[in-house]
Amino acid sequence: MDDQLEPEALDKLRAELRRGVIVLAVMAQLRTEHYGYSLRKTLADAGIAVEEGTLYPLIRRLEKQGLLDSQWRVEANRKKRFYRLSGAGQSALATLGREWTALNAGVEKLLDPSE
Amino acid sequence: MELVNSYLLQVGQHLPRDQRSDIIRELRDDITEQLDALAEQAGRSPDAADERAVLGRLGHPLKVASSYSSRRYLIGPGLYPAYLKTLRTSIGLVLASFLLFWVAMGSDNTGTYVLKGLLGQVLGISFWVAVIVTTVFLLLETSGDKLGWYHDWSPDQLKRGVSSVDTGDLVINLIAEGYFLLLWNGFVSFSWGADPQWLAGLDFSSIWADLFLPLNLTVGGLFGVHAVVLVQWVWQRWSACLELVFGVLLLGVLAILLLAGNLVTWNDTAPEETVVWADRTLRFAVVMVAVFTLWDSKLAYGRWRQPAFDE
Repeated sequence: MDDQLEPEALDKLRAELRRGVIVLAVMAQLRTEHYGYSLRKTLADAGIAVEEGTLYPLIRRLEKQGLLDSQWRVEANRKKRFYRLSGAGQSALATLGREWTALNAGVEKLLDPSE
Repeated sequence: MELVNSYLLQVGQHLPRDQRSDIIRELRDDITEQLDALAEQAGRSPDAADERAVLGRLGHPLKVASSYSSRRYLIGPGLYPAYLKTLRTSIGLVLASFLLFWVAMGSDNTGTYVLKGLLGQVLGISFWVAVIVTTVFLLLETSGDKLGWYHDWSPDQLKRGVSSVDTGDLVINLIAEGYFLLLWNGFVSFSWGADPQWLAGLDFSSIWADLFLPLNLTVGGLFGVHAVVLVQWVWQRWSACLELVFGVLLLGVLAILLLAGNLVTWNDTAPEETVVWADRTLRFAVVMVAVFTLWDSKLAYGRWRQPAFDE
């Protein structure tokens, strides 16, 4: 009997785990203004690499929900869309941040083999 | 940036129209930034290999486009490109077999008779082919087998398009041109039941016979170009150029028709007012066709001259 999980099944689990975390990471990063590529780069530098096909639809969805404000501006001779957390987004981030801290502490405890 | 332009064109074709421009502009900016970063690392300008690398990592255009949609599908984005290709190819094969059969039968009376019978049947066969292909793909979708379509994709498969396809416009053109060709070559006819009295004594003037071949060539050429665009699902520079050439030639033929003295001939049995009415009606129809052809040629010129796709 093989104890190893199929790579595809593991990918699915990883994707599920990352889904909510990415939303929180994106919102946290957008406390300061970013355009798409700079946001993706900052997240990647922080160890959270997000594909374009995941990030752009996500920020559009967050904007539609009123959590982000956006603005087209020209920078370095290129038109870019800049995003920033809205008032509603800041209050949602504060709530989600508290929940994350509590969840993280709980999961850390559960993962600790000495517990 | 030709590869990037073709890529974005194909992503755009699968995006909702109201969001297309915004999404494509943002994606273009991201791709450009990635290319700049790659070039900066290598200390040179971005080249085609960089474009292939960035687009290869981004993945199939339909996969990128589908990530913007939260809709649920009967046949999801994982199978849809293969489904569309199989459906088009199967129906194309039915039509091609039908045309080959028609050519093999020749244009004598037997051939014409058989063709008329087949015309009805070919629609029925196409319908059942579509049902079978759709059922097979529905089963594949529910079985979870995604055929690995996206994994096998590479930017080299991109068609170098210059403009997206307007489905309605293309289908209307194909139907109008196909029907005209069948009508013009005598394979279908207007069925009045019995010839009305007011048509008695009227006939087409000799100018129509003189233009038999030019009209077949120009309308046939346009039909061929539109059929190729239907299969490729993107306008390429050469197809836009061919549409323009055939469009201009057709305009020339229509101008000859409009400048002709009579479009119908008159014998003693037809009242003069009927002849005048028939001639005016035909001229009006020719003018309408000319206006549509002029419009299509203008669009074709725009596609041909477009240096690159830009939202």
